Amino acid sequence: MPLIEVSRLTKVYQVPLRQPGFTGAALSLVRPSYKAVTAVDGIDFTIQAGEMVGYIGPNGAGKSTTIKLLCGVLAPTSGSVSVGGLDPHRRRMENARRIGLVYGQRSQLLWDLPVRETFYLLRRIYQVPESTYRENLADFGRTFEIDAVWDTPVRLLSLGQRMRAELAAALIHSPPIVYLDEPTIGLDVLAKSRIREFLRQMNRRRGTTVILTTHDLRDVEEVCDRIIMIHQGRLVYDGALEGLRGTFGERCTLTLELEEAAGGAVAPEVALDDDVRLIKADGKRVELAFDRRRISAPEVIARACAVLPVRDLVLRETDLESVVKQVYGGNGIENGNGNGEGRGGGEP
Amino acid sequence: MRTFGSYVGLYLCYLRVNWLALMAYPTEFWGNNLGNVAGNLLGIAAVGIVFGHVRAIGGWSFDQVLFLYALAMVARSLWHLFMVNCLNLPYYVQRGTLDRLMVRPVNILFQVYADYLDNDDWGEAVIGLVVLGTLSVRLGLVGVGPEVGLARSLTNVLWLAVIALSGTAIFAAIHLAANTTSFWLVQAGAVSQLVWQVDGFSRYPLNVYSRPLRFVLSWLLPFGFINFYPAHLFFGPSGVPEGGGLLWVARLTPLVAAAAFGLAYRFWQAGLDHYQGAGS
Amino acid sequence: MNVLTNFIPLPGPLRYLAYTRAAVARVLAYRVNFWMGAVGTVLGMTIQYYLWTAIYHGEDGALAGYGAVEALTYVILGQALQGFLHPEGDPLGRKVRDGSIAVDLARPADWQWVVFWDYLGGSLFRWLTTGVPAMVLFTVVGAVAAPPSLGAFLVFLVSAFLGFVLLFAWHFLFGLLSFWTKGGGLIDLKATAVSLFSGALVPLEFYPPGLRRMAMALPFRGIYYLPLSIYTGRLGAGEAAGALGWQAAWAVGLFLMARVLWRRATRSLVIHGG
Ligand SMILES: Nc1ncnc2c1ncn2[C@@H]1O[C@H](COP(=O)(O)OP(=O)(O)O)[C@@H](O)[C@H]1O
Ligand SMILES: [Mg+2]
Repeated sequence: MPLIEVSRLTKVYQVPLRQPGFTGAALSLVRPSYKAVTAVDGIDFTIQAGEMVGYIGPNGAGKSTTIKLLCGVLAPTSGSVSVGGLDPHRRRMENARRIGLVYGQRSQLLWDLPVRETFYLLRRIYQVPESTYRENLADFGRTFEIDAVWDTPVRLLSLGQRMRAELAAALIHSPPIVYLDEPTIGLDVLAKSRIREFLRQMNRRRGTTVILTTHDLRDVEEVCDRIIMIHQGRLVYDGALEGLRGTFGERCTLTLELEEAAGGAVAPEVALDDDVRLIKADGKRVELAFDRRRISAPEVIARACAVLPVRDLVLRETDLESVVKQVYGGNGIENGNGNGEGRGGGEP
Repeated sequence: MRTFGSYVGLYLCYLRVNWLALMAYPTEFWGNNLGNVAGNLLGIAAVGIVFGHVRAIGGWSFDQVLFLYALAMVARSLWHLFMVNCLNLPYYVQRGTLDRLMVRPVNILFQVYADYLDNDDWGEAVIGLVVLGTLSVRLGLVGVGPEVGLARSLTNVLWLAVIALSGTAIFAAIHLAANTTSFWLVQAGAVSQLVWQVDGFSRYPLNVYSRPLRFVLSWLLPFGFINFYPAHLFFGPSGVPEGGGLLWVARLTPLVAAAAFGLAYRFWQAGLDHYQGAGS
Repeated sequence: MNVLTNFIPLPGPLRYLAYTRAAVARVLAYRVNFWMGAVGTVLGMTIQYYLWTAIYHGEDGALAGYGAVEALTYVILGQALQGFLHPEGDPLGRKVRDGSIAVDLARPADWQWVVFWDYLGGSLFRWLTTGVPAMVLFTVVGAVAAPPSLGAFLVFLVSAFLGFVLLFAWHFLFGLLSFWTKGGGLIDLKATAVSLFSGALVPLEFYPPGLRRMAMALPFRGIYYLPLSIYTGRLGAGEAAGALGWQAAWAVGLFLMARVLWRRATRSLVIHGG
């Protein structure tokens, strides 16, 4: 039996509308009017114990809403969620015991107090047995360097230190399921990679199920075996990371501005092999995508400059937004089937 | 399932972290309590100033009015010292921080109360207790001598404790209900602000108000059960303006308190089901 | 002197009216709060009505020289004025503590005036929309007496405004403490001083002699006691004129004192790299 089962899950927010004017305000007191916002729209997926799933989508796609539904914070508008056989909203307490939750933007650490106080309190809240508590602390102490900040008030921690303490706090009760909502937001490269490393380790050693929302592509690349992608509340891809290789692989986009309209005839010469792909060429603008690990940026630029009258260029990392756009637009992405239950391929 | 004992342990742990955090700002602690003491002495002084000119208000003597006043102070301060954070409920709802409490295996309201305590109301608690104690002796409710009697003293002390706790529950119920509106209203702080105004009614005996007001303050916002009705338990039929007729109402106080809190709690649960979190 | 030339904002205070308007808009933005505040004011007046009716019940004569109607008028109007003269306000301290003062300081405007006009906007609006109609209502149903003459009423308005300036200066002075204490702890103390010595709750004539002498010597009675006494007709024309002068002197004095301290405070803010 899968650990998490989500079927036809829908969440509609009722957003109160503010009517303009004085009478409008008075009226809204008596008869408030609402606008319905469908944040999650009929999603289905199942997750097995021990999986590491990247739950991705652009801003506002409905990721956080899904996490809240899985945690039992919100009740679904329709459809159902089952986590370990329980309805997480109705059986909130029992569900809460076996999940750990990390919000990138919200802290659960006690702001004015030394880090240790948060852990004392959480130990009580989750009724963690003495032995587990010690083991976990020793474990985190090593990976997250918690000992170094143990007596430091939280408000004096650096962002990276705080995020590590945050993770340790969320895991102190050894939850079998861990949800992370944008945990690497705002962190530097080093801090990010440490967190990824730890998540991988934890999954390997303890078999923890990890569900990670992010819009950093590297997070999913390095941590997750499986991707669930949503867009405007709908599931658009579910499957192995490999299925998205074509788009994910090309992590860089080079936009060239030409002296004169070279026309589509010249541009393809740059993108001769698999390493560099032509995305767009219209008039004076040419867009190329390439994988940095296979060909270096200077090489691509040199190649382009050799055949095209380049006046200016911009180099940037491919962001999730454009990946989703490509997937959503059906740009040659096949349904993934890494887990034998690929769904994906949302309506074009 | 969590046992009652584990809640006690958890609560002590919460007390510890809250008080540690408050101790990080010792000047605030002293400043707030100094202001609090002054404010409460002023309230008592205002009663005293008026009684400098009259012998009774609504048939109640100075000592009796002060007794009522002190009873409300004790209940209000107990509520304030341990349950004041429900006033922040609108912020929890609007900013979505209630999420954080909802993913923990602990009763949510318990967490709201324990999440933040302030230490600003010790002045009211101490002054209330001192005044209540002094007046209990002066009014002959409690005493060591033969004129009161040990049995009567003990009964009165017991009733006082029950009434104070019932009053705390009534304050808790009213403020919980008022702040639970924040699950539906965007500017819910306002309802709570209004409740504070109504609290002003509880400072004087209910029989000075008109019938409709009295009804509201007894059965809708039961401030009357914090001090006015319970007073009838102590002063005897000849000591109160309306005679012994209200004694049976006074005995209902613990029930009214339990019912009020029960209702408020149901309302709160309905609010939780309506909770939508905050947009990211 | 630097202080004095700055006391009168050179481009004229009218340009600060924008802040007054913004304050009104802010009150309006929180309409539910506004309505609840209005209901709260009426409730407060109602409490006073019943309480003082009970106090005078069975007393045929006057208490402390006040007849029932005069006392009721005094305390109920006192409640109605609380929207305008809110003893618990903290316009400056709040800004210092939440840091929004930095934004205001960056503006090319005289900041003490900015706070003044801003505060006046909210207070005046609240009073005009709740205190005044509620007072009219209480007068119409005969719970309180109307002022003895139109002249007395106009003098009362001037006196109430001076009371506002006095209270503002006091709040401002106290708010300056926030620069050093960083906490709002003493606010209750400040409000208590105002409530006790201004005669906001009970006419000062009711006070025991010692306390009354103290209240009479302190400036706070200019906030409630004097305007209310003018309204009830207790002060005749001559006395009222004296009262206005007394209020004005204190208002200007405290305002200037706040100004000097304010310079000090902002200087220390700059030194500490604010
Ligand atoms: N509490 C809420 N009330 C109303 N609308 C919300 C709320 N939370 C999220 N939304 C809306 O629902 C949609 C999905 O939001 P969210 O789940 O936070 O997306 P993501 O986490 O993927 O950025 C957005 O349009 C957002 O504005
Ligand atoms: Mg989100």
